[in-house]
Amino acid sequence: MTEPPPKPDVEPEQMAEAPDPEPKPEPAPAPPAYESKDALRALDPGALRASRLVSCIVSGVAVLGVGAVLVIELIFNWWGQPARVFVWGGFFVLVFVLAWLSLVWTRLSHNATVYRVNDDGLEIRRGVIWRRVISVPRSRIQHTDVAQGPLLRRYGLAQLTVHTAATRTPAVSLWGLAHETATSIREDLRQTGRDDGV
Amino acid sequence: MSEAPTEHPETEAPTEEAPGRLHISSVFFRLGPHVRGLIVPGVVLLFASSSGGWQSWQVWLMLLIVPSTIYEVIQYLTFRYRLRGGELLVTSGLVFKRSRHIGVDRIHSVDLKQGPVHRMLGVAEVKIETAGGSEPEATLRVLRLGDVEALRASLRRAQSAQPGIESAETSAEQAPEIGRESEREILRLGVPELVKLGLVSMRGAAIAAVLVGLAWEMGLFKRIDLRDRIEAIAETAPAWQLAFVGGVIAMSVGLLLVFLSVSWTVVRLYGFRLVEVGENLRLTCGLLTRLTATVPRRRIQLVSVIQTPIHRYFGRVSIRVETASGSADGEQKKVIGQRWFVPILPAERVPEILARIAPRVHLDELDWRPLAPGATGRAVKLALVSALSLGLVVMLFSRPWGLALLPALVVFFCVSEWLDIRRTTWALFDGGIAYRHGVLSRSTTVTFFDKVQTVSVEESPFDRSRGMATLDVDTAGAGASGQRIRIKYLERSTADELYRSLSGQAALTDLRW
Repeated sequence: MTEPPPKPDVEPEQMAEAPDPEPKPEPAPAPPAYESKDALRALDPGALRASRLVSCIVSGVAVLGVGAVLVIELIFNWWGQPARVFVWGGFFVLVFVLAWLSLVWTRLSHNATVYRVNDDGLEIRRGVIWRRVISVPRSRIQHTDVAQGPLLRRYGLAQLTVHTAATRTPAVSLWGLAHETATSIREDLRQTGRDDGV
Repeated sequence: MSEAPTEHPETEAPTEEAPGRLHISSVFFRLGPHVRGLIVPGVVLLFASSSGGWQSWQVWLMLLIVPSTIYEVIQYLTFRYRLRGGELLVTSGLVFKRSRHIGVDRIHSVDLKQGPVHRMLGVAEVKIETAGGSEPEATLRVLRLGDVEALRASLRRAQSAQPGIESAETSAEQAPEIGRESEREILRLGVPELVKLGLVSMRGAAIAAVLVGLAWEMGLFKRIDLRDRIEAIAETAPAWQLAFVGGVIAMSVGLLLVFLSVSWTVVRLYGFRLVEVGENLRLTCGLLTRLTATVPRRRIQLVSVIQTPIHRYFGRVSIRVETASGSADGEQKKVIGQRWFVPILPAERVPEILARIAPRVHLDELDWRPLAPGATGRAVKLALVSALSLGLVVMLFSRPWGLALLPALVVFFCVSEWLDIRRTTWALFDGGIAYRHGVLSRSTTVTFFDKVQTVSVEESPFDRSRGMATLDVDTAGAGASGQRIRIKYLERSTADELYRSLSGQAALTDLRW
């Protein structure tokens, strides 16, 4: 509602990558997880579009719902004039805030989320206002999931979840990695011949 | 799981023995829940209602005891456990066969429970726990005591035959112990100590609540009709008499609570003994129901030394440990395994006992470090804000009370925060990290590099503007004892340093549960 989802410019790009794999995909999948070990890496650019789309859908539904109630009210005239002014004012503030969340906040949050996979394990940094860095040592990883919903699949993305035996942070996840990156990280994190000591 | 195939070649030696079976009385014990669920309601109905008992369905439900008995007899006849190829194999069932394979090196503890009837028959209920999960991996209900000892001994032999276990950490100390049943006592608690524990823990309130609930269920209150009585008395008697009687009642209720608490504790923990069997710590206690819990020393994830104000009055502390098994459920775990590992201990004996439980920790020799210099200011400000807002809320209800309370609240909050920050310290040592905090209830919590699961640093906007951060260290099984390592108001650079060193050390050491 608040903003037309940027489908058009996404679709050709993603579609182009999948069906004709001649130009780039050959070197692409393997290096990202291994090449620059200690550098922090950003999420896939597609993740920003995906999260914007999610945000737009959710806020669109909210705005449509509230708007419908207000229009019905206008027709049947339940409330008096002064109340209506406040309510409509509130409605426009809501639209503005949701639009800001969908356009600006998603970008801030996307840019604030970075990760790295090195010899120690997986490190994730996120948060715009409340910031958090979490480190999951390699040998503590019990299993990893790579999940892909319909929306993420559409953008060729995936969610990587790393499970540990920790009490308060038993699962740490990264939403919006390119699917190949997610699987290659999973392969990288898989313990090879190390005793998990259980 | 993926390593299962590689394990097999290494298991030439472990004991191959004839399969063990349950004791014949297990049919009786396993029928217990069925009897409670099926027979008791029926019988109660038959006796309670004068004639109509036969018409209700609960009575006919009693007939279900016949198939239940047959089922339990079959379970008993088909139940087998044996140790083979480094695995404990538990099989049961005739039609639906169940077999469970538990890797010996995955077993965290073998716990025993003996009720009064169990003890008369010389049997015990055995629970075998692995990491995680709220349920025991296998419950052997019930085994003869001799069989329990044999099972334990062969488990110990099989575990020491597993290469991965003895190689690390404490091999020098462990080597001569293998195979032999050398018990070394660490701690024994006599009745006087247990009485103190009863006073400290104040379980009385909980027991009283249960009693009141029971009385309510049985309709005692309805019959007595308390309110009418009280009103009748209040109308006739003078005020001072009422006050006197009220005081006497309150005091006797208080004394009763203390009495209940003390006697509950004494019965529960009577004959408390903590012994060292090889690399395992074994706890035994109980007057009626005798519990035995075994915690392998290397499975301890977190150790806390806790001192409440009442503890301090008696000059005592308690020590709790966390293991990765059994979570917080199960009476046995709650009572002894984690909640009360060392329920009560003279404060001066802490170093000695701790050296036996966790040899790597020497609390006195640590290099204790303070929080960030600005921490006190921030904490006091926060305390001031919360005291003021609490005072304002009270003022909404009653202005004079709010005004009177406000200064008290402000002083109390600010002083306790100030003391808390001044007392909070942390220390990094060659084995792990220690954290000490608290004003009224004080605690010292320690975890080890090889037990750290995740490390994180959090930074709020307030932290950022003052160059501080919060360090959070998560381990398996953190929570049952209510202790955790989360250090607020650290200097940003210190937090980063700790984060790097903890995650680096954790990555270097393989996870050892």
